[in-house]
Amino acid sequence: LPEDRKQPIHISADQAIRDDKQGYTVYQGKVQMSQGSLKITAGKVTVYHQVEEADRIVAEGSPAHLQQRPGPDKGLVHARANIIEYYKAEERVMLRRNASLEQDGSRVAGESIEYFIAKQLIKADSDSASEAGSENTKRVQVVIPASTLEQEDDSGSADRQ
Amino acid sequence: MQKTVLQLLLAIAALLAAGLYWTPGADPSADPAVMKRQMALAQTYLEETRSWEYSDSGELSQILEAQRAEFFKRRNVSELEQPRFYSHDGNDRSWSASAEWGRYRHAAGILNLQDSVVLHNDQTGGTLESAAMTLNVNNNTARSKVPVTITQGDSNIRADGMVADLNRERIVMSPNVESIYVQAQP
Repeated sequence: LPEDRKQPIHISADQAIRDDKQGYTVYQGKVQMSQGSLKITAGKVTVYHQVEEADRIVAEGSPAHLQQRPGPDKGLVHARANIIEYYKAEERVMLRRNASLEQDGSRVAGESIEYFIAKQLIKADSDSASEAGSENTKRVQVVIPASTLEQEDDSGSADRQ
Repeated sequence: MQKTVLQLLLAIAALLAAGLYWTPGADPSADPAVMKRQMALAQTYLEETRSWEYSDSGELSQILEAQRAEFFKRRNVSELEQPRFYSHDGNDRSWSASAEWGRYRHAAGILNLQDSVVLHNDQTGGTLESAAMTLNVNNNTARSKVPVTITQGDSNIRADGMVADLNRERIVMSPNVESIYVQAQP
């Protein structure tokens, strides 16, 4: 939700390692993080904190899972990846390795996905490291359910009348 | 002849019996009751005390203060009221610890702190609070086996125990970690 980023961040875990010199705290063991409607579950979460405010959060898991409700009338967004980087100040989420993002039946998958929460914008990339055309290139895959297409057609023809 | 031998034996027996009960000039501490009383008594009492310690290169490394200190020679232990401990790691980084009560084991360099224990990182301003903590002042480490809370501004982390390496400013908290990061409002 738009006001998510003003909410306090709650984290629970089995263990936390706070390194004041390096300026981060690593949470390990069944880590659950929440900030308003945004929720992350992972094996490990690292919070980079400049003085007090946490600005960058990295979640790692197999996979790590992020869920959020972008708007009061919008369906939940589910994002999964081995590495999820959440840039709170920019309201931007970076999904890396085995990345996928779903909402209301639509699904995007690729090697990395960039999700701009406020603009509701998604940018997906394939595995640029592997050679083009080789079998194990992970290309971007998009699935949009027919029902969503029909809704867009109806609203499109209603506009034309 | 027999009579004199008998008298001699009697005299020796009497001497032995007397020796059992009366040992003039012997060490009173041999008597358990006296020893127990001595153990309970401090040998030295100090009020508003402060001790400084310097490194081999002459830099201030530690300060130990107390409202009152009672030193027990036999146990080589000081019981402290309102202890405060400052440590400087020589790279201009320092931290301090305070509590209601403390017990300092001189030989081991172990400072047990009890009640309203606060550990303060002077660099970040972060504080760690607990009910009990054991400080090893020789290698600047600390340990708590009871709930601890780290506070930094409005944010905090809580857990049921911790181990801290204060030179590296690194604290491992576990188990049952719960933390809250409050976002600064624009």
